[in-house]
Amino acid sequence: MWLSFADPRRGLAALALLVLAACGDGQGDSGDDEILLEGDGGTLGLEVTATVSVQRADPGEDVVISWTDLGVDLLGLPAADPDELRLWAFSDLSREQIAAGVVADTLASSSVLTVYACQPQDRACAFSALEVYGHDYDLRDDFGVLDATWLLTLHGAGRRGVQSLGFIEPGGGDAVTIDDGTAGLSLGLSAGQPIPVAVGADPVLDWSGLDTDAQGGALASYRLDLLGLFHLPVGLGELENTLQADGLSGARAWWLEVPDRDRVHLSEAQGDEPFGGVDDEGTWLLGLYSSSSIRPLPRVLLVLQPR
Amino acid sequence: MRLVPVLAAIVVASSLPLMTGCDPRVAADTGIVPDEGCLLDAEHFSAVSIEPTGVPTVFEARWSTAEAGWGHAIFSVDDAQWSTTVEGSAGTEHQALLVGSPALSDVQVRLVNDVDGELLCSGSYARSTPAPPPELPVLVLDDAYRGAGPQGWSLVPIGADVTSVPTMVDAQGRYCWWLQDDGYYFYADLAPDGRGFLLLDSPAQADGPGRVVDLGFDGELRDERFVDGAHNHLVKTPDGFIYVLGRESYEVEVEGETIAMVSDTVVELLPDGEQTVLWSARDTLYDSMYSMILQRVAQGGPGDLDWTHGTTLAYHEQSDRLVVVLTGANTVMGLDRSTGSMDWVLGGDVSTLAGSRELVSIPHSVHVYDDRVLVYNQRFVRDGQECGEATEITLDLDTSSAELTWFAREPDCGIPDILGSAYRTADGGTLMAGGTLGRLSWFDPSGELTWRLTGDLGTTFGGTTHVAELR
Repeated sequence: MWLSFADPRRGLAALALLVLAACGDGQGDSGDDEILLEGDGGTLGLEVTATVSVQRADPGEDVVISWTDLGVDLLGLPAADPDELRLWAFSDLSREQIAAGVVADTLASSSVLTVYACQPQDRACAFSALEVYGHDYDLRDDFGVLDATWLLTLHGAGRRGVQSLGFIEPGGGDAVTIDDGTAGLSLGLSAGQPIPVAVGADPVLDWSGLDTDAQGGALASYRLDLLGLFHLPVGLGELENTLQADGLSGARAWWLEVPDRDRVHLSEAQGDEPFGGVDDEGTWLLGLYSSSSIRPLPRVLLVLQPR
Repeated sequence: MRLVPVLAAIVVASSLPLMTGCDPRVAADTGIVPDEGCLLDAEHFSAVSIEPTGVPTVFEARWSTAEAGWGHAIFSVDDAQWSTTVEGSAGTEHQALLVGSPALSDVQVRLVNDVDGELLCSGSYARSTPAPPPELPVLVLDDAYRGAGPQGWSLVPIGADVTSVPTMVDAQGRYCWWLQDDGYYFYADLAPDGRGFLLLDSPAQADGPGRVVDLGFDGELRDERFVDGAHNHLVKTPDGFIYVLGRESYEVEVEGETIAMVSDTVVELLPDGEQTVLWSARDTLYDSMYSMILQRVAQGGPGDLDWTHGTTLAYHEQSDRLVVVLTGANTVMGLDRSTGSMDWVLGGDVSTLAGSRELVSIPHSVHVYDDRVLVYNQRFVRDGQECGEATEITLDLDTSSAELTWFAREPDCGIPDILGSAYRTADGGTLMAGGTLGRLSWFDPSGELTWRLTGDLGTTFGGTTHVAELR
């Protein structure tokens, strides 16, 4: 069974092309050495569509949930090996509402009955390994008993946040498999304000002034705990089509965990090769993530404009 | 912590030289105002050190004075101003712990020395507090309930990101204290001396050792004990005894079938470290609750049969009784602390108080005061609607009866799947923690819901208490 859900807060079709202003309210007094982000930082607006599969699991069995073949995250980047699986029991919400709430980050705690969690072994968790707040808990007490809608989320190591997700429902089946086809996202973009960055430079990025995310929602900057730098070999005019078709699968990526920080040099980010500054080839994106959020997307996504 | 009157002698202060000092972070003397009648005398103070402690919102101030006196510190954030407790003896070396400042704030500090009744003040020192850890959820005031809130600080364990972190939160929903470790804390209580937290780190494995933690506000571990099977909650009496919920595991033949069971005990920890079981559900309730146990056995289900599922302990000093919440047995009961005997039982099949059986429904916390108990009933049906509810019950032990005297429930009604608590604040209001509902609500003394904090997805508010003043 497949379900497709769009973020209901953004009903308009995505803009076909980004119209980028040279400067704006999103950036403070930035210079060659320092980039100060304020407000929404000039983030791209994101229109998100989620595709999430539903699998069945036998409530009476010690069902094993595995993700041996998961290779990429929901945006097509190489997946961070999940270090935690969570199973959410939602009350009074349909799968459509939950999926829409995940991409819009609008789900409320009051709709959650319980969150079960597991530290995986060999990319798998059995029902019997799920815990509630660090304590043994037999899921058979609840699964198939509670009137709930059940969502699985896989959380990547290194604060990478949700790498994949899926629904399960009581029924036949003693195994649940999560792979690259279990769920996916499609991104549409709306205009943001690019950040001018000198080619080859290594400026300090300061996001302490951010207070609005890419959805237009309130953002507490201290919750941003992961920075991602991406280079796509396409021009800005092709960015949206590329993201919609392939996500970030063609991107080179650099990552930096930033808990307790709000200022970093971009060169601190780590990738397969050292980050040597932006160049004028392709498109450079910078994402700031909150790994605690169930939303599998950057809270802000910025275009770095070489100059 | 008392609010310092903001009737400062500004004229006096401004006529004195601005303070100077060796600390480069000393601000120009335009910050907080001195206490009433306090004379600015910067040269009276030396060797000033104001540094964050193991809890980064808490500062320890140390300073010397030219003359012996009784020291304390006043500090402010925005429009709020507090004072530390005045030292108990006079001297020239002083120390104060500044507790209660919210995260991400600029804090102004002034030191005070009482020299034979004359108050001398230092200049103003500027400090700042960091952001809370990103794992802690953002707390926001609910748009529908942004009125007057509980004045002071809520001590609330917050489950988020599948951890459970003891915190202190002010009426604006700002984190003022947090503990970062690997423990799991479902309740947060003020230590009896008012200078720290009393916590129980529940073991991940049912029969593993629970850790009793007495933690100073500065993050220093003041006492630590380990008790096998200790779980959920504890209480410390003024004479230094600690009582924790413990656990017994055993097998019982029930109608020819061997059933693995667990039930609660109350373990007494003497100040010298000795541990004894004061009370056991198996020894005292098993026979009288046998029919309920048979029903549970018939229902089946995985795992050991936890037929009492104790969640909360409280202490009533006037009667020297412990009060125990047995959620699984739908019962709240009073224990004689000296003998461990059950003096009264409220609710459930074995109630000893007339009129009480219908007043308790999946109880999850108890707060005891005067002749009353405030119970958080996780699921209470009233007028046909099932909700989490704070239920105040007055006990009359002379007539062995109990009656409902007050209750509160949220207009939008909620039933947490896990946890939930109710606590009567010093001003007569009631703080209700909504467990997995992710809501922390306050009913003012008239019973109106005026203030509610919500956390983002996955937030759980555990057993919450409150303190109006800090020392």
